[in-house]
Amino acid sequence: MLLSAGLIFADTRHWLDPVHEGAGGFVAALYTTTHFPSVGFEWIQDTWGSRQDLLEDNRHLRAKALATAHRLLKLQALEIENLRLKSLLHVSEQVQGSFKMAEIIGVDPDPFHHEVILNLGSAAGIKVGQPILETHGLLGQITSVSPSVSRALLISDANHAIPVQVNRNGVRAIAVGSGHLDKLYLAYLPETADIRVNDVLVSSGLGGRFPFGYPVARVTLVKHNTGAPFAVVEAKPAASLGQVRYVLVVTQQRSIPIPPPPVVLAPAALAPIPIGTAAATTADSLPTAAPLTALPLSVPSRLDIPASTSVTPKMNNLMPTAPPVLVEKPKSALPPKSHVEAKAKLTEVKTPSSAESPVLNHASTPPSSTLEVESD
Amino acid sequence: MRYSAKQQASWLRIGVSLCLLLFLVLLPLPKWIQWWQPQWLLLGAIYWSLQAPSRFGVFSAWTVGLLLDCVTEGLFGLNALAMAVIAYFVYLLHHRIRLFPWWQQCFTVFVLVGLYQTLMRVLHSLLGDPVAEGFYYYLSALISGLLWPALRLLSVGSARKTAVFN
Repeated sequence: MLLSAGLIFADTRHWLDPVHEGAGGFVAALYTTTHFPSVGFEWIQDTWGSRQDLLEDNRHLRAKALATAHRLLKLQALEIENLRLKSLLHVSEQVQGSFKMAEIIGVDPDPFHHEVILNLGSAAGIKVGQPILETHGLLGQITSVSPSVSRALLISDANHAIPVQVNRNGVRAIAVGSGHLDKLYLAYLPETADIRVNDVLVSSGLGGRFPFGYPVARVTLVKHNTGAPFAVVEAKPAASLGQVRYVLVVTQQRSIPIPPPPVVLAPAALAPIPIGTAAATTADSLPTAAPLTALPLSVPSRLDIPASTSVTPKMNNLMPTAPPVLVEKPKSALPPKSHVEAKAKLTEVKTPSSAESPVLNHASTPPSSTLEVESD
Repeated sequence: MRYSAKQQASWLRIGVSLCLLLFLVLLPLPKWIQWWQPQWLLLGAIYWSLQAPSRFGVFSAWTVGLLLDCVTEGLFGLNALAMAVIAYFVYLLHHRIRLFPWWQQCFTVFVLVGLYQTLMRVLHSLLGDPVAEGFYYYLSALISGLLWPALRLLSVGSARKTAVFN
């Protein structure tokens, strides 16, 4: 009794971490052993699978590869456009990552703990905190690593939370796991937040742990309780958390600089089109709010975008023509130093460029119904 | 030839049976099935502390709990503490439980596993972890109770009648 009380106490103080590490190897061996039946089954399938099945499989995969290649072509064009728009926004760098494919070889025996065991460990370059993905979206993150296996916490675990934003309008929220594989809660969303059923939530990249832009979940329920401070919002994870076998671990995220825009137009000469003029706040509910202009200038200099095969160095070649007529508003036109906290109903934010680029839209959209505008 | 109680509950037998149960624990099953999974290791511990209380006592149960802690990579000592408490109760009651008919034994096991799960829940909430809500948390205890007669398999191969199942 005392012994276990002592152990628990020592462990809460992290004195036993080396022991945990030592036990990791033993546990790795155990999980590898329990994984053996499925390996054996796969081997039998590979060895004795009929030619007909294999041909069928092959045809299927080839069709899939073709479809993927087609999408990739389109994506490349989008990526170049994205880079160009980003450089206009003075976003100085982008995140590039590399992936490692891992196999799930075990799940935590506790039904309330949503953890999986992966067959790669620190020997393969896996580190604590790296996000893991599946074809449909984010799965979770690595929480502990031993030389040959690692353990990952899923986004649906009740201990897990991930910063997300609504893809439609950039409203930010925190998706907290519920302990059920098919449900996440959005915490601390005000009653007035613009969120609807079927909105897609993507990772917002805040906090620096998860890269920006991966689908996380889809909103399934929005309930407003009059009198309660926050809306009740539930979402269903995009990734099939309970069924995946192979996952991608994002092993490296390094930032690479984006070169500044090649041509700078003189702002005074042309009629300035204010980027990010937010027509968001309703006038009656917000009489004292300063005009929310030129938000893109105060955008944080580092936006996480999905890891990709970047084309940055060749960007100038790919942009032979002058950039579109998007002109930065001069700094002098910024509102006076003000710190506005506006609690207002958010309507559509109309920016001149919002139709063209989701990134611009994201950048110029106020984060949630609580606006903090700080100009310098 | 008759086997003595000591031979029947040899450390080899205990170790092998617990290893088998551990593999059952670690089977990679879908989450929804895991709610239905019995507490295999606890069942094993209860069985052995009924069968051979002189060999498998509170400390052995504590060690088994520690093993479970290792595997789940939770805090060290949580499962160990709960298992030791249950083993102590079994030790106190083992004369009586052995005399129970099988259905009464099932019920006792259900109560003991339920107590174990309640303890784990209380410990987790004391430590500030989120805990599962609802009664289906105790589904596992129910299944454990129902599966108790299956533990007769642990005495397979020994010539002597077990002390637990009469």
